[in-house]
Amino acid sequence: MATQQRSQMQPLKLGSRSDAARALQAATNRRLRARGLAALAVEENGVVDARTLEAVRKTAWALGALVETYESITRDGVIPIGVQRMIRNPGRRTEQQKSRGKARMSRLRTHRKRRATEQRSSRARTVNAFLAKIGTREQPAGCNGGGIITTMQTFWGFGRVPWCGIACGYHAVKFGGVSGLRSDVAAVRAIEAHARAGRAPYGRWQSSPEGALPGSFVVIGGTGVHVGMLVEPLSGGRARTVEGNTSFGPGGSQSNGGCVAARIRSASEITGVATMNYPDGR
Amino acid sequence: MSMSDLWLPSDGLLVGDPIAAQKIQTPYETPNLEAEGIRLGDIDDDEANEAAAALVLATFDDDDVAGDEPGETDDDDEIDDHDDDDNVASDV
Repeated sequence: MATQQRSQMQPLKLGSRSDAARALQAATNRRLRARGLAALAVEENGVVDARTLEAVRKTAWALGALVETYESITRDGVIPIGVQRMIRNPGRRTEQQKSRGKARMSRLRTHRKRRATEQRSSRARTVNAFLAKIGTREQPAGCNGGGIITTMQTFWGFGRVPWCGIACGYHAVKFGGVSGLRSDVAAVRAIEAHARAGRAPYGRWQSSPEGALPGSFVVIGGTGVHVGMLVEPLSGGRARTVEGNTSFGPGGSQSNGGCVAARIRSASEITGVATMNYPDGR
Repeated sequence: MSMSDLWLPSDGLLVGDPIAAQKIQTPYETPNLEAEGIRLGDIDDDEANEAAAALVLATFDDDDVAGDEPGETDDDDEIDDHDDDDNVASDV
């Protein structure tokens, strides 16, 4: 009987619909709820859509899957048999997978506890909403649009144009409630000019991220080149950022890479930081 | 990929589009699309965004290093699908 079951199990592909996909969605939701991540649960409709892939990827991470395995899910649009088995039967994981999953859950709980006091601030809402989009890519590649990217451009009244500033402005206004930001937020040069002049809602211009608060705009790569949002300042003048229209690593275009990615920018990459005025001042 | 390709100025591409250039030269506040009944497809759920963001931040740390909180979960040893008696392969 088990042999027959095994032979029926197939990789699940983006866009497909099946009972196996529905069972996996249900199991994914159980795993997410057990880990305090119920907010990430998906509709149990049997359709392997982008949200299902993303929920499965996160669940595979939490259960201790290898980096290459969980990253392949959204990259290739396929849920491998091993991942399905891991989610439906976490008790059948290897000791190494269980150990890795425990370490990851421990870190996740530590992050959530540490940030719990900040969660209600407008800056935290803004950064969280931007971070939640990591993995987003232009579709088709190189088109400067698709999905949520088009939504952000529409928000400002733009068509398919480079969108690093558009993404920062979108999150600051929609999730942070920043008022007075205008459509020239799409231009990196304008962000720098307004901050240097201290025009609201920009706060001030500073050459280093040191002391800047999350949600500030970090100009990267030179005047007019690229902008991201500050997640946290790091030692040595570095910054952890979340950026639109960059690449996942140093090998691709940094200023027109088509992805939402989290990056660590060195002091030499950072041109300056535009602090921003958020409504609750935090 | 050359350095100039890696750091192509975003503004140069933007102002090459005459309509976009106009929107930058004559800036305006965003129209309130939602007030006009136009729904934007984004996740407005703060809890979902917080959970996703925390998970992203946790992925930045060394993979085998635990944090300060317990990592155990009630379903760590659960078997839902009793028809499948294969173990999860170690290369997953």
